[in-house]
Amino acid sequence: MLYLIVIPMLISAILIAVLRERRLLSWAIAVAGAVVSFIVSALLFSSYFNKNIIESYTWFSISSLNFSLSFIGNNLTLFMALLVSFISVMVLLFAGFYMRKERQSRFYAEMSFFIFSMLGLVISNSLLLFFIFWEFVGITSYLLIGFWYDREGPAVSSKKALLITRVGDLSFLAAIVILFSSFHTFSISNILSSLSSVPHYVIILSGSLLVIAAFSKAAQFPFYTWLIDAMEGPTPVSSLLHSATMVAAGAYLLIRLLPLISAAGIEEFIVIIAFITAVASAMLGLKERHFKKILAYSTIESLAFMFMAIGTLNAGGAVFYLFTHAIFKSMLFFISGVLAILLGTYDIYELKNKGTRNSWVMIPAIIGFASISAIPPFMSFFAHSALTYNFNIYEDLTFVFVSFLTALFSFRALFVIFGKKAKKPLKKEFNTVFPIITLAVLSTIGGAFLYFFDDIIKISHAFDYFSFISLAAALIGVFVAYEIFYKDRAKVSSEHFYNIANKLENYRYEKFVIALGNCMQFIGNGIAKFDKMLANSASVAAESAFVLSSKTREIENGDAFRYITAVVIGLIAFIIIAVIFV
Amino acid sequence: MEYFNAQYVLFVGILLIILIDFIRQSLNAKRKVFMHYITAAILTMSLISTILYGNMNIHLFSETQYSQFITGFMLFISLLVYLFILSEKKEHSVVLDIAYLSAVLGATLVVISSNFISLFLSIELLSIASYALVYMNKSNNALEGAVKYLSTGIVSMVILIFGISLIYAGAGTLSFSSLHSISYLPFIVGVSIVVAGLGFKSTLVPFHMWAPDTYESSKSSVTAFISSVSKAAGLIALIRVFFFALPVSSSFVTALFISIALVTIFLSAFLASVQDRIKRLLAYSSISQAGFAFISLAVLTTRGVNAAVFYIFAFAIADAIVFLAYDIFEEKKILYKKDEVKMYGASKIASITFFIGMLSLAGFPPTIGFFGKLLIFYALFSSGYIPIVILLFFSLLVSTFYYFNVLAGMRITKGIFKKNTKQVIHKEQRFKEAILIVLTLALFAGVIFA
Amino acid sequence: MINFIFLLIVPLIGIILTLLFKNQSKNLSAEVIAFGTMVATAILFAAGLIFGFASFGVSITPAVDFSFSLASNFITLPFLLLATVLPIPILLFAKNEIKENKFLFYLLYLIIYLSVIGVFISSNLIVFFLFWELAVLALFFIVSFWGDLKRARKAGMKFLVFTQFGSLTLLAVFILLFVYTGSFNLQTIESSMSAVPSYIEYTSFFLLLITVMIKMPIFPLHEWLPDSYYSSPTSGTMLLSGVLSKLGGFAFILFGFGLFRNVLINLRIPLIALGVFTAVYIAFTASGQKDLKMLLSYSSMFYMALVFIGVSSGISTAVIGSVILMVSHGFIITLLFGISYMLFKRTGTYETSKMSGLMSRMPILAFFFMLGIFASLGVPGLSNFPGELLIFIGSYAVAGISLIAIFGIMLSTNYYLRVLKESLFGQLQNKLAMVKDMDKLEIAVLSFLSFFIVLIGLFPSILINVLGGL
Repeated sequence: MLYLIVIPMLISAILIAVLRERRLLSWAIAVAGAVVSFIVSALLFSSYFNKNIIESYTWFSISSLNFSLSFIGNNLTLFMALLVSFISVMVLLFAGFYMRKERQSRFYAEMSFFIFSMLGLVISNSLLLFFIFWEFVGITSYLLIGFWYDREGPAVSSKKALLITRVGDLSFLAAIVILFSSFHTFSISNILSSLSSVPHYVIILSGSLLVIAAFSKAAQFPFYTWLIDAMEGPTPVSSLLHSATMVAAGAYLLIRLLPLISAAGIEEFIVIIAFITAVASAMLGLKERHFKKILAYSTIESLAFMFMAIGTLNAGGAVFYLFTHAIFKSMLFFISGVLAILLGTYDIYELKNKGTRNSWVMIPAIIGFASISAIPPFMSFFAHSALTYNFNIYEDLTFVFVSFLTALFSFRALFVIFGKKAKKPLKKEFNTVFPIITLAVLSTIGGAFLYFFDDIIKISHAFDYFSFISLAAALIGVFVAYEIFYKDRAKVSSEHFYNIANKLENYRYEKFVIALGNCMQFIGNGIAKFDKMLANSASVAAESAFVLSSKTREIENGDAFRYITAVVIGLIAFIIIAVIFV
Repeated sequence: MEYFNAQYVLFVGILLIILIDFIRQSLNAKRKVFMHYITAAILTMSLISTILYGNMNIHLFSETQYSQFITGFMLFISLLVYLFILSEKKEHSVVLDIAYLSAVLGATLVVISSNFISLFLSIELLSIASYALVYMNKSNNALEGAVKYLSTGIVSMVILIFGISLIYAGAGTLSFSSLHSISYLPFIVGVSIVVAGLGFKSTLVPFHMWAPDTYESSKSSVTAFISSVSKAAGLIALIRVFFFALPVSSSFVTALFISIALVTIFLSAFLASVQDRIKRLLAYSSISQAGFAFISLAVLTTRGVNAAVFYIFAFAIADAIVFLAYDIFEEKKILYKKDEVKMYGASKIASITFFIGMLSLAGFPPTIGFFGKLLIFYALFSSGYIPIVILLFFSLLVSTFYYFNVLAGMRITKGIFKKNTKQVIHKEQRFKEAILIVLTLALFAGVIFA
Repeated sequence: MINFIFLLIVPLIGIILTLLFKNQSKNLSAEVIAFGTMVATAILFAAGLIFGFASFGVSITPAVDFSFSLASNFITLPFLLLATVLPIPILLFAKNEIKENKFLFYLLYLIIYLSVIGVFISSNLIVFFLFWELAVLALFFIVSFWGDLKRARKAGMKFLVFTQFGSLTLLAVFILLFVYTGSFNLQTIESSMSAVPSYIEYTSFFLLLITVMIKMPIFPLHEWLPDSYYSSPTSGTMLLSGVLSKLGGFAFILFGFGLFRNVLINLRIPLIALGVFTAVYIAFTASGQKDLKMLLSYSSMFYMALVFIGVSSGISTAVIGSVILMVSHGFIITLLFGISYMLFKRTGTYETSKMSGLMSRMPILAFFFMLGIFASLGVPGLSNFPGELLIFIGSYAVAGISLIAIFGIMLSTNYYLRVLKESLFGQLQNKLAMVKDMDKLEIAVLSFLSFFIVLIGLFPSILINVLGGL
């Protein structure tokens, strides 16, 4: 029955592609599909609650090796399906506003296909199926980032996004190959139950490869540069793919395979990378002027939070934060989209000059930015308490610093954007108001979920002194941001700030990636030249033989005497050979 | 019917022709054509007699296991080549008929010689008649070609007879069946000298040098005869002497033969690839074919000899095809490699048969040349000469290169392929083409002899 | 039951018809005959799949065991699919491309068609070799007659000399087998392999390896490839990469894996290493290409290197993967070469850096282009993925180094995406403003190819089930 979750979106993707309808019909089909998926997920969630249902289908089999595609229905996967389909409905509603003037059918076909793959990904039990959907979301992400293919920006960044995530895809593939060779099964549940039966190096190798896969998909430290550029795509895409769902798939992969990661003993490594990513992205976010890119940095940071939880073997905390983050971040993206469509820019200073302060937009924005900074009473404050549950003292201390930075850069955006009153009220519309308000309300009251989330997925949380220290750090950050960016009190310190940020800019991995790419290209050109030489060498050999033969030809110049001489020489040679032999 | 053998028929035929021609001349009859028809009839009859009754079998000549087949194909090719010559526009003299028949007689006698003396005499008969044939061309350089042929020929005959005398000194007999004594120095030296003498006829390096010049200067139809039947006779003589007669230490003969063959194959392959004139290229390719037949003989096993005989048959027929086809091209002044684009326009059938003949020489399936090479490789592998075969592959690459350089050049471009360019095709050419088709069919049919 | 001989008789009738009707230009042209013949053969093949095949045998000369016998061996059917079906769309491409000497072209085309089928079904090695050579020869003439005028002759010669060397070594293998088993019949040889001494097995295997490495091709012996792929007409390139290069893989599986498995298993580590090296080397070389046709030529070699890795591992999983990859690659590369030719026809260049923004003018072409490239990249659901997966799973079990070839896929992602970005994305150039999208025939041809790409991608079991003997 689990396949019912993915079927509606597949149907809608095909329908839209076939109908090629330019008007609202494709939007309606997509929304209907997503709603059906949501309902199906909800029904299955309630009926399979606290069960562990595995549905397996054989793709093909070779003698004893069975290449099976299996789905799993348990609390975690169905909760994720519920979350994905819910966010999808919201995003598709919002897209009805944002994509009104674009090529509808292509967009919705690709979106539907993405939602199909994402839903499939969260409920798949076999690694093979997981990989298949993982590749699908990567490809749809490529297509959707490059939606405006005639602009240079999306063209470059879509290529970059796929290229970098493909590093992860291929290491995932390698991990699957390694795991399958050792376990002879693709089933995640079977692999996790027989971890001790294989040599340790297999676990370490495949675990590391999976971590690389997760990091590249979730835009963590060495790979994060693609996500910033991915913001060239349409905003609904950024909101659904590049913050709420697809990038979180990286974290989700590790959540599903957490026993393997802990058996491999590489969780410390994950935490370290996650902290590096969090600090770096928060600092880089300070410098950014582009609204969506600020949100992208914040997404990277939030994903790093999830990896911190994963690295401290706190699956519940990670899932809950994933859930929280999906809600408030997609809302913030909606707001950025609304402002961009109505005011025509993503630049926060230009937005400020145009005047944006309008209560129905600003209040959800405040909720969103406060959620990023984990300020009570919003949902993410509770999420943070679960997230940091397993932290040790060093991690705690670093996290306090990160909290400060987070609050600083997120409230900077808020204070800059809403620095001036709107000249005229921003237009309201069902497609914008409904999703934004729904999500705003959820992230306000959602903290209460924490108290019965434990029934779904095991989760522990604590409000101890540490929670309050980090809250205090965050509040200080808010204050500093208010002073610097809203009141413009400290011009000097603000400039100082930019200097630091400028320096940090140099550490943006981008240049290195470009250099690496150029280096590969250079090697490629070199080898291509070598190969051309090699290809010519055959001709050269042939030609030299030709020259040599031409020389030989001169011996036979038609002089009969010379011929007779040759005969005599040959004869003498024969006789000599004969005598030697005998 | 005991005496109704090929050789008798030919011999009586030669006498008959001389007689009839004498009568014709005394009657002052101008027409010579019927003389040629008689010659053709004699060749046909001798072919039939070979098929039915085999070869002559008297004191110095004896039938062996291959000789009937060999004489058969020699006569078959000779007949077709003769018919081809017959269809020339200008009439030729009766002397040519006599020379031709003598050459054929010589060649068939070589096949069945069982004594050094008879072998020598047969070869002499073949050679002398061939000199005459080459000279008959009456072109500018026919004389030059004939003289070169003659002068190198004389030298090699001297060598051959010297070798034979050494063998006689060593063995005390000249009959193939009674040569027994071994490892006696004059005998061994004699053997190598005999190789040198026979190598001349079969164009082995370094006794090959006359071949390109002679082939080039004589008429292509005559070249077809020399390069197929005459060369086949030389190689068959080698087989008779070294496989059936001489009980020599095989390691020495093998080493000597293989080195000669390899040098022949490689040198001719490289030289062929640098030729500009198509005919010289064909001459070198023909030399290389002899090398292949020879290397198969070198292993001195029944398999090797089988392969060699079959290969001789294969290349003789293919050589005849390419030279005869080339004869048609030559008339259209297609002499150089760069002219090859015109081949198809000159004669479709000739170019297609030329193509197939070349394929066979290059050893591509499904032609007979492929099966010939297959048998040779089989023989070499059976005796364990794997590296030699690998070495041969390289020479085959070179030969593939030059054969296909010609073939790829037969570019059927638009202008030539236009239907309205009506060629005036003479009846003679039609006849020639028919002969070529017969030969080509024989080329494929020959596979069953494998 | 469909007798295998019919698969040869039908093209033969086509060849004869072409020869007979060469002067009646209008209503029964050579291309119509060729098309009809091939469709009929493909239908026969489909019927054979349903009703089963019967083998055929006629002895010609017992002396060299030359019998005209046809039978299916353990990998025949997937390759037969490639051989019977793939030339049909290629012919439709050729229809637009070949303007001169159509008669001769289609004659040679049918000869190639016939001989490739012949190679796949003949069970007598002499017949096998006969067809093998026939295909090489016919292709040589296609390359040198219809190719790019300046370079074609030289390229054709290079192709011929290299592949001819490969053919000769293959012939040597056959003769060696005959010497020790006394038969050219594949079944007889299989049953009497124990009579072959081990050093002969090694020698034969090395000779076979040369053949395979030239034909597929693999690193040190691939020099002929760029020239011939580039200089031949696109339909010739499609035949070369789609069908003819598979002959190498076929021979490798049939003889290397089928007969000399012991040797293969002893040598598999160095062989896999060679394959991995080739894969990475070629991926680098391909990334250095500016020209789309050249790039595709090299990338085609990359997949053959993966096939080489798969077969070298000597594990049936990987061999099955290799077969799937070869069949799938045949369809994909044909599609990609087709698109490269369409782009060339419309923009006048093969260099993608001189195009841009074509997606807005040619959405359908863009769709197929992306499909082909994603299929090449091994995106699941498209045909390369199961092949690659099985190859990696199989060969990893033998040698961990095979995973390094994944790095080659990374590089190919890079150059393929570069091609997509340069040609389809970006602003449309003014001079390209009038380019037309694909016409109906082209759409039909590409859809036909895509159908197989998706079919094999979704249901690889179609191919796996017929490979039961492995």
